[in-house]
Amino acid sequence: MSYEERVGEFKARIDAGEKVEAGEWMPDEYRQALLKFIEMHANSEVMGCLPEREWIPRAPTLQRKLSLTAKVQDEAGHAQILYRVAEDLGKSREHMWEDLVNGRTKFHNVFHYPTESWGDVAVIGWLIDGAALVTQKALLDCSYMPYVRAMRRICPEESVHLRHGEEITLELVSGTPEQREMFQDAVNRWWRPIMHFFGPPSKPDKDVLLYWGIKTRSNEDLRQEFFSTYVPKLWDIGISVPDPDLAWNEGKGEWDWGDPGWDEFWEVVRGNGPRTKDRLARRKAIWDHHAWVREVVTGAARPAA
Amino acid sequence: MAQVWDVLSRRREGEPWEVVGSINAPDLDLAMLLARETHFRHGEGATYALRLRGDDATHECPDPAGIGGVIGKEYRRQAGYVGVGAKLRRVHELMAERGLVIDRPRPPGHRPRETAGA
Repeated sequence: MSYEERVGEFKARIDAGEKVEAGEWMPDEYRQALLKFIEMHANSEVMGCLPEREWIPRAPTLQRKLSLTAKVQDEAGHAQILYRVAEDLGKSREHMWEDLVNGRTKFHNVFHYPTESWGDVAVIGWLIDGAALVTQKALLDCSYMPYVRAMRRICPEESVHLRHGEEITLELVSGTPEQREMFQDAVNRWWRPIMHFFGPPSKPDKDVLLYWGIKTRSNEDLRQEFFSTYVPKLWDIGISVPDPDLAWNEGKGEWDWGDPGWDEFWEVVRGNGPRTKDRLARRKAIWDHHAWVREVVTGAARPAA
Repeated sequence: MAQVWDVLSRRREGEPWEVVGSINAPDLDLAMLLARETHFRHGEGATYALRLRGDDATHECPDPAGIGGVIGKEYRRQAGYVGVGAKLRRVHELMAERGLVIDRPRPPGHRPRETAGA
């Protein structure tokens, strides 16, 4: 059987809804697209620890410190699970790490921004994790089974994070005028990065991830679900959304939304976000500082018998 | 050197083993610890087992009773956030009192929540 015939057979399996396991034969195009996608997801989980980690010492109560610490621990755990899945696709963890800290691979745009107030912690926990959960739930039907298993592990934890964020949000919006303004200010600053999080509108028939069943829903479809889930909730708590064009279009059965501008998005993608360089430097410093832990865990530090 | 261990879980007593992921570890002891922390930290599953990739033997967790921790960490679970719905209702009431509810066209099934006084 020629390579093309094997690819055709593989694609037919994907289209029929079959799942692919680690170690099975797969086309190079599939492996590369899958690895790039999962590696970016893993990078995003580990980089996503940093913006919230900055707020652990400044969390207002012991309970908030505990819950925020647990959330950061969960995100680090998600990265561990995802890097392991990616390793089975043929790239070592060390190589992935080198590529991340040297800016050769990407992580999600929202983790390139500063967290300026406790209101940002609420927005990250509720709206950004909400956006992530919308996209991650769609991955539960991915064609690659080890990734599906990872998402089955990750999605329930993200749902807990959502509750954590929602609880902080409700506390702020029902608190003093200053607390309420803090949350509204955070929504105003984060709205554009959240729109960017879903990516620019794209043509589903040109999306290689949709072609291979790695993703099962388009950027726009996911963004629309986010609007339907969260915009009415924001309105119900009296928080406005900084997009004057955002409106439910009953005729079309979908949301109209304003173009947020994509220049900033592409700058962030190129590694020029407001906090990209110092977050990567911080991540590299942590990697170097904890080398001894890796040596113990991998057995490299074990004395010869 | 670290090896790859597949992690199997029994969700409830009597249920079959199910592969839930994998981890890297140099030996069984560390693999047990890492699997517990990575896959069962929140009490997922009744017990778990490990299988060195490429090997047939499975190694079951020797002390499953402690899965998920034994001290109160309810903030790690959905159960730690019961009452969020009631807080949300109180906030809706507060917003209504302040006249801050934004009522614009919404998708079907997303009508404004009614408040106790409405």
